[in-house]
Amino acid sequence: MRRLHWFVAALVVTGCGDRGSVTFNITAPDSPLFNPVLQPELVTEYDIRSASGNVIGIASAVQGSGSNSNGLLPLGALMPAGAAEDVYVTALSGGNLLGMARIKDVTIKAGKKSVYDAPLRKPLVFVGSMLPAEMGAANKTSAVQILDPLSSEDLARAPGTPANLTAMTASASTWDGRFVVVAQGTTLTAFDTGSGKTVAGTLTLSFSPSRLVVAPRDQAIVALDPGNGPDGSLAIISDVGGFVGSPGSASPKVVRMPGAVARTAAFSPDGSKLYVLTGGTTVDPCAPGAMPPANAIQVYGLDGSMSGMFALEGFAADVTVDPQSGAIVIADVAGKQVSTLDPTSGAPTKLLGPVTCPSAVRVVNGTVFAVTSDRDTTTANSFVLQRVSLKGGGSPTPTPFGGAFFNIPIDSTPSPNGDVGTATLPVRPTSIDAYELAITPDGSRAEFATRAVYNEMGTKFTFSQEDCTATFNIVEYGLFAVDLRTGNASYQQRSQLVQMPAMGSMCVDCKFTILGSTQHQYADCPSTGGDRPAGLAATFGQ
Amino acid sequence: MRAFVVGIVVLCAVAAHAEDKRTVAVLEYRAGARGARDIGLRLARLLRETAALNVVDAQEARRKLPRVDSEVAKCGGEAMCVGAIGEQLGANEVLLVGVSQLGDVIIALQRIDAKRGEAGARLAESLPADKEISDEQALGWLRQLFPPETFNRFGSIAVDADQAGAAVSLNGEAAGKTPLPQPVKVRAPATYKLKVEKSGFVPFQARVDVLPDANVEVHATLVKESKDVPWFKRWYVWAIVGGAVAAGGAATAIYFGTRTESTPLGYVQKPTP
Repeated sequence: MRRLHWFVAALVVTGCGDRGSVTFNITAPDSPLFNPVLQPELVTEYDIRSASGNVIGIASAVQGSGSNSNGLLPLGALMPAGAAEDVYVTALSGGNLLGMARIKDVTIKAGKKSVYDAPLRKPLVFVGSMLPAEMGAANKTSAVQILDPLSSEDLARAPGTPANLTAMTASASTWDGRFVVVAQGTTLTAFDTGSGKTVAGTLTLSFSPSRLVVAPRDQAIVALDPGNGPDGSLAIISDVGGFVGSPGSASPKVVRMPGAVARTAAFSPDGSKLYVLTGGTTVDPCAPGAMPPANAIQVYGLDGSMSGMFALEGFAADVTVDPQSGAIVIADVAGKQVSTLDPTSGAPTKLLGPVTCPSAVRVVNGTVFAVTSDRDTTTANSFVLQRVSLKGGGSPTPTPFGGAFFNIPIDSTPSPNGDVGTATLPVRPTSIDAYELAITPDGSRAEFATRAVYNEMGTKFTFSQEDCTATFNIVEYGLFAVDLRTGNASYQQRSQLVQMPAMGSMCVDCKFTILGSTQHQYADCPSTGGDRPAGLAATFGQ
Repeated sequence: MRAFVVGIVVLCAVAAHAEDKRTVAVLEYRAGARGARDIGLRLARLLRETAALNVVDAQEARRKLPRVDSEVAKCGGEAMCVGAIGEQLGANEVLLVGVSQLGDVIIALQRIDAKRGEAGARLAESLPADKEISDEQALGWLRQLFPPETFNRFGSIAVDADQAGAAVSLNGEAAGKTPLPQPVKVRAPATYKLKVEKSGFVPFQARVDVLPDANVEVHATLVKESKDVPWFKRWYVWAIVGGAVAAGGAATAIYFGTRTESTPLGYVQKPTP
């Protein structure tokens, strides 16, 4: 049957004389859960663009749009290109991205007949889990989540799932979206986004990577060493195809970073430069009183040679690179702004600010997304994700996100019929640090892992006519999902760990007077053990 | 016997204040969510029924901009971009209704100033996927988003009489003397007791129903007081006239790409089922 399709396709092409043709052969995974076009009737169009964003052609896939009986959709005449270029194929259902494929080195030339396979994959978001650095008796890791943004379904737990990804502490999508490179402690493996299974074999590193980064066009995988002291390192795997085929056979090159520990990293669009932001991953720059020292961006080549360094004026929490323009964008915590850096001098130009503690930043389709600790003025207990055009101009668009709060239980008993509940004192976070951020390639969905801090030092308030004082420091880890088109947000609380007072006892002290004698009534702050989300990655995304 | 009244003519000029009112385009974007069907259309209807606003709903927006849904989707919620669509629709502001399903169905309502491209008041509600949304609930959201005065609706009463200097009162409150320089703006919908009186003439009285955005014209003829006016000349007239204006029209342009013989043809081979 398949041969017949190609025969007919060849006839169509042959019928056009010697003009030549380019056919994009869409393939989809066999696994129903991971197949983005399982319901073909939902596909409205296939959009074919060059990596630089230029439209090559759009084929309407709605019924009656001109496809022949063999499923060949016309794209019309294509503009010949002087040189081969990378092509992005997207399957759309109206405004929703169903699936995507990236193809290297496509040649569009008159008189030449070419066929390119376009293996479609869903724009999935992967969320792993790690134990928090803060101690908690009930701390434990959670199952890996493989989130389908369109259905909001966790494919790792869906009925009949083939997914066997049991643990993940760091991850990164390959450029072609067909695999997600997964760290499970010190071991690396690959997850096939088509079959929904990890490939056979693992590679063991000398450290547990804090971050993984894959270069454009799958030129390299880089694992960042969280360091165990002042020195860090990078492990560079140059043969990505070999790694995803047989992880155990890969031979990484380890590059030492004397006196510096990587915090995060991003590749230039051509993959020739790796911008490594130093400062380590243990710092919460948004926590009350935190004043981390200025860090730097070190520039490495794919061979591991260091080719430059930008010393930053203050501490930056995150760095990213616009895949189209190559602009370097940093979340400048000290400068209270999001800035672009001149790629030659490293001089910053403010893009967004003043903002409170921008902790995570990404650029998708020319729009900069930044998670901040700014409080939203219209929504109670919410912080703000800002977005602004990378080109500048126009007001930033705020998207509030809320949900993190700590409830201090008050000594009370519910009514026997359950209608009257127990009393609590709700506390909102003082700060929020988005330490990992993943955005789908169409910019429709953001998932970010957060470390919220509830910090009160002798804060006075009254409760039931008693004078009360709150003194505590509590860390909460959680995961936000934000639908960036609608602005809707949801939050998963993962752990609440009381750091001070010890054991959480007497974090609230209320005084009252009886017969001239001052009495105290205390409330305790209980920890809730759990995990912290880690290893966020979006296939094809950042 | 006192001789009185009168001939009155009552006319309604629909949308008398339409030019003064702000126009709001209610646009919906749903990210694959199946719940809360037609919530955008319903909110538009409620706004139209209860607020002093001109409302462009999704259907009218599609008539004006056939690709409005995909354009809104492409905006990705960015205020400047959504505002530009609002301007194309001739709206002062956009009420963006976002529906997503993050476990529960979450409905977000965001006011966006079309000209400035700035986001304003925002409200988000999380609902169980199978929950029906009542009109009262939806109206409650709108009342939280828009200032109270938005829901004050008005009509007007233009009073004309054949006698100059006659005192006009509405519900007992003086509204001026004929000829009134301009129609009297009144809250609507409501019924008003209109009285036009002048010494030596039989007072003219009528009940006037005023619909929102309607201008009711009352022409009063005052009759000199006389004991000989026959009873059959006592006419009491009040009337209610309403109207509606509908307009529509759509045009679709289809762009066909040109083909030249020096360019290769492109195809997409759909996946085999």
